[in-house]
Amino acid sequence: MHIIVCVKQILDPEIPPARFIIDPEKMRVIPPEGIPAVINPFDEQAMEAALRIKDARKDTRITAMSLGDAHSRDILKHCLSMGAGDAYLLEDPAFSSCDSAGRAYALSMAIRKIGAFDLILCGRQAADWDEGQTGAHLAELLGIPLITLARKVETPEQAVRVERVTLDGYEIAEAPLPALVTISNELGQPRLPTGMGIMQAMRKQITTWSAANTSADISILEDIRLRTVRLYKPVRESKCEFAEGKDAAEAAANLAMKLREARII
Amino acid sequence: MDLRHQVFWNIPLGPLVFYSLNIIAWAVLFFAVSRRVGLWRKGKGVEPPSDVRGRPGAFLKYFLFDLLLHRRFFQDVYPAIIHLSLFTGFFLLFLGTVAVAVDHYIVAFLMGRVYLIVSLILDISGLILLLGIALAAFRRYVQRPDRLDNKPEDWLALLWLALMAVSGFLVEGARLAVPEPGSTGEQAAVWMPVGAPASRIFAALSRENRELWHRALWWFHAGLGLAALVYVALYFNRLIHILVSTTSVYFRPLGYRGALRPVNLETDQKIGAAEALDFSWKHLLELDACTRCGRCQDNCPAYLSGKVLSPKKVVLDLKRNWLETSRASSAEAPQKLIPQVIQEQVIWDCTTCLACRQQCPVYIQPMYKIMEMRRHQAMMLGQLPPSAQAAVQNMQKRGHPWSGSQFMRLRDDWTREVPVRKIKPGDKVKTLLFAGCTGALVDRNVAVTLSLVRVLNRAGLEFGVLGGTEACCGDPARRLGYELIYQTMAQANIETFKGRGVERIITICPHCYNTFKNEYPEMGGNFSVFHHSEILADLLQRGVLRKETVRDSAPSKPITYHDACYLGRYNDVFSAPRQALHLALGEKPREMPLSKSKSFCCGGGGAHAWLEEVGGRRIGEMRLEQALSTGAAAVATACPYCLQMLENAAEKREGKNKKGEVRILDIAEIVESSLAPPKAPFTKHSSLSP
Repeated sequence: MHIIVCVKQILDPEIPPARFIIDPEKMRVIPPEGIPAVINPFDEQAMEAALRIKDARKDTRITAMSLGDAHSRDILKHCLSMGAGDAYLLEDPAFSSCDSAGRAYALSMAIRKIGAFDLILCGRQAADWDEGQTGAHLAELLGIPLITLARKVETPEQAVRVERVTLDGYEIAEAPLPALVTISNELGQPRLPTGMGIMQAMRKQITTWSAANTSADISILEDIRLRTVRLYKPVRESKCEFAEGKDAAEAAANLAMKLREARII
Repeated sequence: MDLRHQVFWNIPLGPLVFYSLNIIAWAVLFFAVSRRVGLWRKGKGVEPPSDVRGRPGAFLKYFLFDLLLHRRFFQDVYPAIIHLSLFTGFFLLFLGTVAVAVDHYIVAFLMGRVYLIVSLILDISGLILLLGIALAAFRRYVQRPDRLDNKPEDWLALLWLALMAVSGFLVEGARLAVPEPGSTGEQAAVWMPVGAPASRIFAALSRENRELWHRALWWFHAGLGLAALVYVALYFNRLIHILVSTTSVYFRPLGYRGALRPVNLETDQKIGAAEALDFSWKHLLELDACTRCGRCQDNCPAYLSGKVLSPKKVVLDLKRNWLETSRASSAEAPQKLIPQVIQEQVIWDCTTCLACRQQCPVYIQPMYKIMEMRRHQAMMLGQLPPSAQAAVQNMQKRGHPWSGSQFMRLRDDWTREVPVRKIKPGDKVKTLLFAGCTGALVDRNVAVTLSLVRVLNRAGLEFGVLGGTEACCGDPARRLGYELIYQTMAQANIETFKGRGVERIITICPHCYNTFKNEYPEMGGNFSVFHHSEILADLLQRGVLRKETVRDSAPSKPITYHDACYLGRYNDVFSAPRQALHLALGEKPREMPLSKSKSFCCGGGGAHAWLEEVGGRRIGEMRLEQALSTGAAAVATACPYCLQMLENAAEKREGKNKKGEVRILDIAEIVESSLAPPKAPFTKHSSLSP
């Protein structure tokens, strides 16, 4: 069983809101100084899902893959220390302006180069832009079935069996392998790398590929690339209105009327 | 009249039979001991290098102060008196036997007056021994304290001692009754206050019968002594503590009290202890040195608050498992300590407060065994309780353990709220103020940091801070057993400090203090480390900071000081915080009954800020109760965890929305408020008045 896990490095989603600054001219986020980027939590859970499959089937091999820059090495090292067998970094200036479709395309070319696989696991969305599209695009490009929002992934026989999160519980979906599954946070806490795992990871190499290595020509997607029209922080206002009245009972009645007018009750 | 003692008088074949039996008994004991030494040496763990040359001196000090004067025992008075009686009686009687042997075989000196004095001392010693036995039996079987479990070996030991003492007196009495040549009746009687009356028991018998009784009692007494040697050799129980416990004390680690075995991540195949034999020989020796006195349990905050952890039980469970493992055939797989011998929750209950080691009269270290087990869980299995796991993962990703969006600060946000020099790469500074993760990220503790900086600025102290490049000292990871993160952070910090030319570090947090001072040196970082209370005490004492006359509108609240474990018990810093408070308040803070080295933990150590307390009461609430029982209305702390724990307890006590009657304040805040003139701005936490 060969599982490929796609991981993304993102700006720390837990920085205080006040420090989150955007440049509306360049329509980019300005990362605060000295804050390390982190692995997308959903992608870390995708690694965890892969490891749980490996716990159940000893013959499982896990490959971690990331599209990013040199800093992405840290998250790939982290995946290696959790238990991935090898890691690939897709690094190229051409990739930096990609949208979700572009990233999915770059990943798909790298995956085709790697060759045979049984299962691809991704996080359901990245916690920076929260678009949730890369996994779907990737499945489409590779021509494999897609199951999203997994809280549990098992691989009986030559199929994948997934518990999908729904509004009021879960449903079970199955697909033949190879397939792609996106992982939701309901899967649970990703495991700590063991000390031994970290030591072993230090000895492993990360393979770095450029666009040329994978024969990925991003320009073919130029016409359909998403363009950002406007990037802004919504201004939040809060208004506070006191319900008036000569005593508590009257104020309460006034409050009730206002709520009725606003169709809240 | 030539008064002297005659060895083997009236004992035909005495020397031959007695010494033959002795040879047998001592040989049996010798073999038992060497076999036991072999069992200790089965421990595969490696002991850290220790100060071998310092050992004789340290042991001599122990012998003089802790054995002869029983200093360590007197942390608990009544049991100390019991042991002192038993020890004194037994030890002096033993010396008496040695004196007789020396007198007979080497140089005669037990004659005349010397003989009488020695007789008196020995008679009194026998009485002291009997007193000790009576007190011990009363405590164990009538009072039945929680910390003592009773086994047959306990009453057997007391019975044996009693029989030895009584039969010894009877032998003496019979000897005097015969009478032994060289002893006079009336003159010597006053020097033998027990022997003389005892001799009257035999007065009614014929001379021949008296001789027979003497002989019989002599052999009974001797036989009992030799039988004890064989009994102890076969069972190796509490009576051997005389030998084993002192050996364990001799080989104890000297120096830093919290010292953990260093872990070499490059070469160590196995980290921590998964099975009994993963411990080092010293740990196994300690398991044998334990006499089940229970002082550790009686002072463990986890046990006293109703958790499943009992340090005594940990030691005894490990001992039982070790002995079972040693006796089992090699084909059987050894049991895993967790969960087969020790419940997993037990090792996470520990707050690493060191009360167990502090109280143990023979320096057994239950906490270290727990730490070795934590290391295995964390480093080899990657299994930590979920909240602790999140903290470690956060340290990995963000360089600090305080994760989550409730902490709305970045590392250097606090530096914008007060004038302070931030050291950039390339800058040099001699004195570094290390805010610590808690002091930089948690609102309540940031107030303390700001207070301290304002005070140090007023004193004109030159120092710098790292701001955003400050990273965790690594203590939470180390206490959780996740050694790798600790070493990574330590190495990075040491590089940063050295790169900035740092020589002195002032810390706000005792955990940072302890780590920098005692644990960074083995990672290559040697700095002079001070806790902020030491600096404040010094500044106040020298008059650089002066307490202003306080506005007398509000009466000051009586305040008590809570000793932080990592400052007090670990590093003996007791007087500086008290001095700082005294000079700032104008009066001494009240002392709790459990203070200084007997201080009761707040429950925040051992990474407990990130571990749930499971079962029982919250340790912090117990401590707050203890603090308030002094009549104090405010508690001074020196540690950010103590501050949090006690404030949480105070909030719970009073309800979150009520304005607290109880104030928990750091020393820095108290010092600042004693300095600030009324018109100076103060934060809501810096005033003592309601």
